[in-house]
Amino acid sequence: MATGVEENKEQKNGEQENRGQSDRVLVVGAGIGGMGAALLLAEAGFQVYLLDQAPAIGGSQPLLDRTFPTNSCGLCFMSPTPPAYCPFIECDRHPNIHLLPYTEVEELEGEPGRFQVTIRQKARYVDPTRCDGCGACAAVCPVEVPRELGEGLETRKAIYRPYPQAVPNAFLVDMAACTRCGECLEVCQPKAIDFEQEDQLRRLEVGAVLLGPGFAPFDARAKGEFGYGLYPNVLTSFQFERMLSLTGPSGGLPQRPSDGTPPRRIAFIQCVGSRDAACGQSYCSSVCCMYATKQAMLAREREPKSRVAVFYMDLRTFGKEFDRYVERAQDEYSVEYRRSMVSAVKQVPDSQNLRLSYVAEDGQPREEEFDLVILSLGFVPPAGAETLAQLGFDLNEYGFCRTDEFAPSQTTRPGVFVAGAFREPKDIPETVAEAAGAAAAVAQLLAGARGRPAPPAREAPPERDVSEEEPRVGVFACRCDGIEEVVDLARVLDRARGLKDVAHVQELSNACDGEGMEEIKRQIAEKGLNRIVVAGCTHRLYETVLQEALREAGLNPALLGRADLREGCAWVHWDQPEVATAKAQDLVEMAVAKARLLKPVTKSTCDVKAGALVIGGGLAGMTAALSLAGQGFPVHLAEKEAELGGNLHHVHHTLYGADAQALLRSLVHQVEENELIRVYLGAEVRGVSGSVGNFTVRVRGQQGNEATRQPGNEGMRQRGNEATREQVGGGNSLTYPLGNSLTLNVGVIIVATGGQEAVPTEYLYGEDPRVMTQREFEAILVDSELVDSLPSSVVMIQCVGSREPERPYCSRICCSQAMKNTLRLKEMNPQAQVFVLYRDIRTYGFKEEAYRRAREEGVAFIRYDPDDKPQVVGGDEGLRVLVNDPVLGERLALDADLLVLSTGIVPYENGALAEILEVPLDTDGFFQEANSKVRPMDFERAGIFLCGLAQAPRFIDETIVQADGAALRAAILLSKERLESRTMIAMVNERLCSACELCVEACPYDARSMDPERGVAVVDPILCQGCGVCVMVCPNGASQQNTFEMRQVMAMLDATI
Amino acid sequence: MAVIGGTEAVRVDTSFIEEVNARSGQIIQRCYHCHKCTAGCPAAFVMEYGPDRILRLIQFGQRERLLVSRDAWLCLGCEMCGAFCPNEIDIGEVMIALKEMSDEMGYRVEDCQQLRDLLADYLVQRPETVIDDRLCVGIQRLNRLGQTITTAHNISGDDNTSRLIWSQNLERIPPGLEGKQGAEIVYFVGCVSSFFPRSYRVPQSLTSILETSGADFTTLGGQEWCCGYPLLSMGQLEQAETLVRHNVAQVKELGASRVVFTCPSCYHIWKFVYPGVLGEEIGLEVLHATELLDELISQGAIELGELPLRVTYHDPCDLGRKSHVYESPRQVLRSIPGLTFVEMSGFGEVSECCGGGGNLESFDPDVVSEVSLRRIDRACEVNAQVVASACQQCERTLMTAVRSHKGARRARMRVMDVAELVWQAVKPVISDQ
Repeated sequence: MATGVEENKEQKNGEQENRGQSDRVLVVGAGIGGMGAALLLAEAGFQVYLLDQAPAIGGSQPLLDRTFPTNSCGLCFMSPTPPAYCPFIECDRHPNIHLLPYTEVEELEGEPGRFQVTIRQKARYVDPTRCDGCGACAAVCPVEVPRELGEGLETRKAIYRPYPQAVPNAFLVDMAACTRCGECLEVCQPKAIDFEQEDQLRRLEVGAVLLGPGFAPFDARAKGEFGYGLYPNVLTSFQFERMLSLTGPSGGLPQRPSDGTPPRRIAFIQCVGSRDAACGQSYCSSVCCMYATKQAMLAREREPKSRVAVFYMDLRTFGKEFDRYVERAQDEYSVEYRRSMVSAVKQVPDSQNLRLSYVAEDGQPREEEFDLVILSLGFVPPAGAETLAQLGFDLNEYGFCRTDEFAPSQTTRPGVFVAGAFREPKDIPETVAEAAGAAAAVAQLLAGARGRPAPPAREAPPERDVSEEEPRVGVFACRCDGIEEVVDLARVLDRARGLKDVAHVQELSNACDGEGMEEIKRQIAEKGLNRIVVAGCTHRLYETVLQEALREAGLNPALLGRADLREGCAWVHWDQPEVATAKAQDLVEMAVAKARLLKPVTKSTCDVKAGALVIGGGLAGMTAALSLAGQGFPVHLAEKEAELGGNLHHVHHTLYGADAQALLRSLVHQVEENELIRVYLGAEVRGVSGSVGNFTVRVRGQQGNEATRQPGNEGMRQRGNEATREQVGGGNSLTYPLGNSLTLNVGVIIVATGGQEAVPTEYLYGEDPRVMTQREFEAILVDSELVDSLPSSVVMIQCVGSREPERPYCSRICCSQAMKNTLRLKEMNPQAQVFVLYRDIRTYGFKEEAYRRAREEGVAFIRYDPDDKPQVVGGDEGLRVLVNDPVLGERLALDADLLVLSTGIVPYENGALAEILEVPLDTDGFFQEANSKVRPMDFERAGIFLCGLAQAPRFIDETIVQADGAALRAAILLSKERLESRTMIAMVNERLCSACELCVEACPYDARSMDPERGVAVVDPILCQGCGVCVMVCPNGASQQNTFEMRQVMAMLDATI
Repeated sequence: MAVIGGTEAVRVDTSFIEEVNARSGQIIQRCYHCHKCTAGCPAAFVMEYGPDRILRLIQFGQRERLLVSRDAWLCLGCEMCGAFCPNEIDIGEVMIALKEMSDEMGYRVEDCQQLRDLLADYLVQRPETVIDDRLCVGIQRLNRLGQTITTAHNISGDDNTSRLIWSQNLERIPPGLEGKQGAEIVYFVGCVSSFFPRSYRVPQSLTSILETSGADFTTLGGQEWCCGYPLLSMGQLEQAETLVRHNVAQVKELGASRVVFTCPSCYHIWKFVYPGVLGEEIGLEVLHATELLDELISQGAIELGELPLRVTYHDPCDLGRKSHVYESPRQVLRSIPGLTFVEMSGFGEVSECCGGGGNLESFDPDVVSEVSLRRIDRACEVNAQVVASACQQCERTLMTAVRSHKGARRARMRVMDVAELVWQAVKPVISDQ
């Protein structure tokens, strides 16, 4: 079981700390953020303790069956080595990750680089190393309590497993509920239950702590007017999420809890516990508009006769592709969005339907009946946040973790970092980016202690050539963890003995322990075995260990076959031993049939070039470059303009008042001072060849001197080459305004090319000097000479050119930008009249406070309809804006000294660069990441990453974490001296290849190309991820996948049918 | 002056909003127009603007438009708007502030022609302005009510010394009913129960129960003055100060430590407004009758007989939402043997107003019935034989509604006070003894 694995892992890795800093990191909270950070840090070479107060890892993820905006699970994309299995299993399996479930942090002493942490491992009252997960205890337990997952929509027993497939997959006793009746003790065969177990205190040495404890849902009972807890058909969104889960109690179908009937009319009420100062929740929870939309779509899909209405105030679908998602919900799913809060929910006595009172579009109050009401709960700080804060970091006024705007991962205690919803409510993509950003900050802090690549495996004998040998298969069956209790291994081996080419059968207690492996090696030598089948646990576990054993016995690792007698057999059929034994016999027969045909696989490797190229010297590019350099990697930073800084030049202060110009100066200074960063100004990337680990990039100065430097970047390293170098800032900088081309060899590329403020074409912009953009207005506000001539009346129009058919996305920052400038103006001239004309105010998260402050300062917010836009008339006296006020249903005339337009962010002309890099753009012209949800900083093309406005509009703090995150993704590749191909990659039988190129088109990883000389398709073994798509499209069967060859798979099927 | 929809541009009129804010103690500009208040307002359907538009008009400085509108006067004071406002704006207070300002600006006149003359300039600019004659008719009625209270010290204009007239019908007048020195409890009867015969059963029941229980109680008799609540809700709280001081002094003179009320409005103003008027804590325990009954029953001071009735409970706004007393009346009802208690749709903190709130009954009695009939619809849904409440005003309003409600009439629905039900349950027990 998992905890057993943990101990093995810890022993194997030993204490690897060096003198100065520890190479160990404690990640607190094993949710989406915590798991993500742990995996990245583990891949980067750190030893990670992944701790969670819950009995299983996963955080909120087990609740989520489908996630927006793709409506798929998709978390499997999250692993640093795609395509991979789900992050739960990855964390469980990763040799550098040590799981600490059901554990709390008690104390943190020491300093960054060398902390001593005291942790409390809570008593589970079930020994996970003994528990085989059979569930007999829960079957007899008489105590039933609400189950945590899905807020009590289902019940569980006092002895329970948090959910099936939980990691670790072990039971525990809820002592608060347990009556100590002892029934479970009677039935537990492995004697795993121990009521006398006590909490264990342990001390760990770590270099840094990364917090990712997530959030808790708001308690809907605090909003009594919605009837939660009173009426059965009022559910929270967390309960409804569970209900819509395919593993939920109704199999994913919406049902009325009162009578189990399918609801025909479903209402969602938004902002329950959000944007509601009256219940102490003044901030916006950022994710509810999107998750409600997702749930509404799923409900309509699962119950097509239903009608869904969403009651809301502002639709805050500010993320990439989010507005399109809502449009889809409206157009394709007929979800109705009604802009009115609900006064109260009242139950109709007999039907138990619910009456909602709201205001219709005509401004009149209405009452309408619904069958089911879902309350879209906001996020509150996670349980125990205050206790956690006693470790020595501050919480903010909302009870979330306080961070600096320009160091968003850094808590107020040095060496303690934070990511995810604990910093501010956020969705999965943001959490994934932040987890990477925080992990990067850790990696930077502990750069000196990072674990070096694992020492080479023990000297292995030369590989035996088995190509001429007849197959001699050895079958080893494990008794471990509940297999032998269910499956009759003797009968399984009897059957195996009679199979073709089986030369040896044997039972082992555990093939994966030292003794088991020695035995396998001994039998290989003694019996001359050349194919090995291990019948035990799933192939997801111990694969590497077992392969190593084969290698040590002189066999190619690919000659190992597996039969899963445990997870897929004994555990699921624990109550049917006969069936399980028969199935085990078949599974072994299949494995043998395949093993007979297994062939050795030779892995290829490629060296990784040491440096990185960062394209773009704005906030994102400089941040990524500094992060990489801070982790010890050389960086080439290419900026197309004549100076560093990009858009940051135009931001003077942030919404929260931080000095963006100071940030700019500091970044430029740090970049210029950094020995590992070389800056190329006026530089453009003109060509890229090669692939991950080894890119060759041609960079050219815009002036166009054609002299090309060759080879490599040696020219750049020559400090004496004054002709192309110019000292900037007097420091130790190496800033090159290029007049010519040069070629760089790098291992990775980061795209941070930014975006730009859109230039409006409406509302007299460019015709009347009193009409300007927010950025231009900001410049006026900071120009101290103009204070006396500040405007006394300003009208702002939001969404100018945004969220329109030709530019359908939301630029995310403009609402807050308007708040920022408005508040600044009001501060300098409190008498100023400000009207903000908007479509939806999208001051998400804690930015909502600025919206509230702006209202309190007297700024009037008037919503307009895109079909009835404001009209602007210029005159000598001033500008006049005509707009319809939907609150009053009347037309208003507003006079303005200035009209300020919020125009949003548009991408640069990215087409040429995208073509050079062979990466895609999205429909809006921004660079398209591999997966909008869980791989927001990766391109599908390996070795190329992205961050900042190049990907999508975002704020400064978000850009910083994302750039840090991209840097860490890149650093993980750079930290490897060489990349090794996988075993299961595709190969081409050249005799059968007809050069149709279908595989080249189909390959999502650019691992396929045509060999022009031989006229056949070839596979790049490093790029190939073994997904098998090329095998499927190949009409001739020329494409085959190692260890999954057609013959091998057919043999397995033949064996069982 | 700013005009909306006209030719002049809108300005955010800081002077008007600041004045309303100062008077009401609210920060109106916080409103983000989620419409929650209007969605729950039981009188919005007769209002010209409704709560959230009123806030918008205040923000845009539409002083005259608001002060000549009936909206503020139609407010039932039920606080469904303010209780759940996410921006913590108590719109009931805003409504009161508007009424105060209308008074001070001279717009609170009984003759619409006079109002039109006053607003002549404004009406030239805004010829579309409609001044509803019912505004001035209503104000006339309220002015009369206000005068009656300040002169007669009660709302009906009856001789205040006849406050205990309801006790004449009691089988036995409890000794010490009026002005008993040293009594622990003073029962503050309230004007409606004292002077409106349909409500006599309320004080009759409570005093009978108290006597049976052996409680040491008395009343102020003719020294009880109107509590001042009607003046508060018509924006003339300053005129109530004499009443407030008198009432508190009278109770203290008797040396009582507890004051009990059957009227939730008296209870509410005593508990939440009196300290502000006096500038200090009143130093007395303020109890609603249902709280006292709950106490007596749990102490075993009264014995309850069977009452096989299906009863629902209507939460009075002043007692429930505005004073947070929800459980005591229910607890009392549930403790009556044989009684089946059912909740109506919309109970507790989201209970709908009966229609008798504020001064609406005086200002425009026609509106009241529309609101109260909806409440009776709810009671019919649960097949209640009795609609119980803990407020004589709710009971009067609901009783009138029952008479004109077909279903309720057919079901012979009755409207009773909780005290009345308790007395019905107690009476047979003591007559047996």
